[in-house]
Amino acid sequence: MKKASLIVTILFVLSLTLAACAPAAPATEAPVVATEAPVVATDVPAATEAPIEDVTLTVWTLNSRNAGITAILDGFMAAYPNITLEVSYNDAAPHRDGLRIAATSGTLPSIWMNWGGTLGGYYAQNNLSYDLTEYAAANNWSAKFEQAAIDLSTLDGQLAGYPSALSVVGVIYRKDVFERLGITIPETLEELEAACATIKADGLNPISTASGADGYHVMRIVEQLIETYAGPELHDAINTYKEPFNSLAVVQALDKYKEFVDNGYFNEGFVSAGATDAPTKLYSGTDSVMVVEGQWFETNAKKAEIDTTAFGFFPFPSGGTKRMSAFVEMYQFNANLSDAELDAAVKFMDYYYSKEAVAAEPANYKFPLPMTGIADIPEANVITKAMVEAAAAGGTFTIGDQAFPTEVAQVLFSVQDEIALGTMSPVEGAAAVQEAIDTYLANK
Amino acid sequence: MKKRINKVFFYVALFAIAAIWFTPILTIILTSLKSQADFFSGSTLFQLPTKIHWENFVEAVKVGNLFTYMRNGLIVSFIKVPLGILVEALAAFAITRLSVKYKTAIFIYFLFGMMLPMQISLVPINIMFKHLQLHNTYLGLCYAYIAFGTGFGILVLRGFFNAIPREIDEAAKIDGCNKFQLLTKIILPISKPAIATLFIIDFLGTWNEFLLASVIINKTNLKTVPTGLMSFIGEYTINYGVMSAGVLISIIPVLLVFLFFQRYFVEGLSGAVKQ
Amino acid sequence: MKKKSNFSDYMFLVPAFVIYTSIVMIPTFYSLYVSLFKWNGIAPKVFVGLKNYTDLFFSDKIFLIALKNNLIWIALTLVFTMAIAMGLALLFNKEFRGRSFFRSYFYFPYTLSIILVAIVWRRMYDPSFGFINEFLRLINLEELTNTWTANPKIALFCIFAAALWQSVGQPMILFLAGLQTLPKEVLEAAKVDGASNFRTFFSVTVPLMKETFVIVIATQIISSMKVYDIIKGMTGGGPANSTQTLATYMHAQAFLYDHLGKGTAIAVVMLLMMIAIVIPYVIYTAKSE
Repeated sequence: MKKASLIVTILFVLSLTLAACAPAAPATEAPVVATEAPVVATDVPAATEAPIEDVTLTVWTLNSRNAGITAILDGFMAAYPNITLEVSYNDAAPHRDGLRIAATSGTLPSIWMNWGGTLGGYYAQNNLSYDLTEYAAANNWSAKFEQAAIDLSTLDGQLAGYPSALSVVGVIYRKDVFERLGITIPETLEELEAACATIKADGLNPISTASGADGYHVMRIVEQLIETYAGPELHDAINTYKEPFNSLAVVQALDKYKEFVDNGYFNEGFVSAGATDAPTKLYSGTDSVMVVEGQWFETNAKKAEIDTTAFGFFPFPSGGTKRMSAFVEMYQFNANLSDAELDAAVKFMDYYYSKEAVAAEPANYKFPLPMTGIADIPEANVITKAMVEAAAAGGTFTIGDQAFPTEVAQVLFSVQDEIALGTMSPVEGAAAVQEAIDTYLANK
Repeated sequence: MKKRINKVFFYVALFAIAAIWFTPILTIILTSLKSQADFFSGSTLFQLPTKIHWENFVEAVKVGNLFTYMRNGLIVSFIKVPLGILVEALAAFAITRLSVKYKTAIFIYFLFGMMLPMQISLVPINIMFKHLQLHNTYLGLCYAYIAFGTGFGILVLRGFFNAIPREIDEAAKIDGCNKFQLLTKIILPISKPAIATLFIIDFLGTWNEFLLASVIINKTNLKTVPTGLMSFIGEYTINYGVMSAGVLISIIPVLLVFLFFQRYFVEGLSGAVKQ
Repeated sequence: MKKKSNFSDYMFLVPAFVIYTSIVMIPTFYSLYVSLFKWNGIAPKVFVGLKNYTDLFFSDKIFLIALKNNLIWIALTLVFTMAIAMGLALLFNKEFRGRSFFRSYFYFPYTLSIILVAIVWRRMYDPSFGFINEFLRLINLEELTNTWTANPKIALFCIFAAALWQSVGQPMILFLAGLQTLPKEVLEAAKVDGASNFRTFFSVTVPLMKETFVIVIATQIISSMKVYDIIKGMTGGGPANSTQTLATYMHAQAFLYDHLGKGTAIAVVMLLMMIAIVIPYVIYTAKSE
């Protein structure tokens, strides 16, 4: 009888003691965004001297950036002793959700990582992110960054963030299988289909894709088919609502997608496979042979100790210049930053992506860098180089799930699934997406 | 002889069920011993890796900062759970054995808190905490946890308190106990199985809670265990080996709590009644 | 002999009441309020009255699928999860060697983070290299292989199997604790009277464990209505929205599509449904005392 209450009491006391000695922050911790008024209001944004006052910046970014930022954090704070950084890391989905919650409650941090397109556009549209257009003009950012990065980071007419990554998507394939089966790199859609048929006859899986928790992986293929049938101008017009989604070209693309599914050119059960597993199916050499993936494939394979010389790349044979789908990542700044804080934020980003930092730990960075003149793509990253060169030569278009708002993208994902499962025809599918677009535009 | 056969049947059935139960567990354990290369080399789930990669565990702790997060989890859990149980026991006692009016209505009022989907609560709580400056404090986090936990705690304790015969109250009154002593000297000791259960479940729930913690705690060195585990989910890859290893390490305190408290699932009411 | 209400009795309720009300009431009223508006979280709110609700029930296909899935989930839980939990509890109530180990063993999945459970089971269900299909091939039952979570007809049930594996620990220990409160004399008396084990269970054990059943049933219904993590982790609501639940759809509306009005409306519907199902049950069991 007494033992239980004794235990409860001991635990109680213990917990209180722990609470007393815990290094937990005191209850008077400052709110998330630093709100000191700047002592010196500089009108010239390009201040070359360090600001006089102390500045604290909160940074929210992804877990995958942990290594990179931790590596430069000490050096940065030593170089700029008046700037304090508090960095918080999260997984992609909680990061996105967390930003939304913070946006609605007014607790956004000083700097946060975000993607381009409609994801970052929400913050630009609602005046939550700092419009860097003026700052960029005053500081000659058009020479500092690749034009593509600036363009893709310009959302809703504003420069919505500091570009931090530029990614391009293409077809990665296993060179050994292609060689063994005598397949040459497909230059047209028909050749790609023929290659798939050959691979399938050999008993391997032609293309690895996934539509499990999110349909963006399958969408990479569907949008390339749209590019093939619509051509660049019509595709861009569709992505900006100037032409309807249920144009004939899109229906043809969805028809072809259905053909691929029915012919068994995708891995079985891809509809519920995980997108992060899709590229890994190429690692063994006895499973899948092709995957539509971004240049990160190479660095991830290297991290998993897979020999990347086994892989090659070719742009999706969509005809014409074979444009590749592309997207940016950026770090957005809080619209409420004071001039001193803005200066500090830019200093941080510059330091993070400085020549020295990149040269010291190239593995922590995603190549190609959106900044010019900082670092070349490491020699070892053969595939990345090839993809970037192809993108520069052939041009790019904005990736679908960033061109369209999330609610429209989700309808497209579910349409992809239904067409694959045979419960919806391509014509119905295109119409469903168009309906979602109409609803979205009407509600704006 | 029959007893022997029954016993054999019993153990056979038990092991059969246990075997079916085991597959996912085996997957996790085996995965924690594999490197990324092993994982993707096409080997099936059952093949042991050629080399046992204990470094997965080391990496889970180092890269995932697991010990810091586990320490934080212990602090939060050991503050919240006993305090919560205390608060809930007082309330459950009131609505089962005291002369409070509208007992069922009050009970339903508290039950309501269990039904609220947490995602919707995040924004208003975030705004409230912003104004009260309670972000990044364990005070704020535990307070919110206790608030959301009262529903379940009162549900459990009320149920068990109700099952205790009223004659005990009468006997205690004759012995000269006041209400508070009735609770602490009689009811609580009898309710050891209930409190043990609640402690186990509550501790686990607090240990694994992610949503509210992710909103209230932003400073990395204050975060709790689920955040640490998430760090192995990259943008385009999941490091399955290290993640499995991390999970296995992080549940050790929870299993210890369970093992410690499950011994209370043997005492019966009969012992107390005799008193 | 009705006791007069003593003021000091109410003091026992004060701590719980204060803490609970100060935190939980605000989100509740916030949700009710926001659900009457069209709002993206930042821009000014636009009052739309009950339009969010009528839209959900009359023009939202996905909402109705989600609603149906939750009702199916509740039924599955009340039948399978409870039966298995009760069976395990009865099993582990008896004394036998290794009992502590087996209790922990069946409780163990409940301690794992649901995200890991979702990931592990998703891989198990993979049609080409997943354990389930491989095992079926191994024992020459290839015809039974399926695409499992890629098959909209059975995807929800596949996810439920994983959820069952993970969640049975909690009701199991609640039932175990409940079994401890049974007075041994009554059970022995029934046995002496010649009742079989089965009859003993249903006519003696179950009624005596009424309070435990209230706890478990209420908890299971509520968590079935709110089920989110396992679905999100395994299928994200797909394929083609076949595994959407109210919670996953609410999350999508509020966080992905920025339709906070719709999102909170779904939350309110969830709340009302839980109230409608659980409260009468609680009142009924409370009255029959």
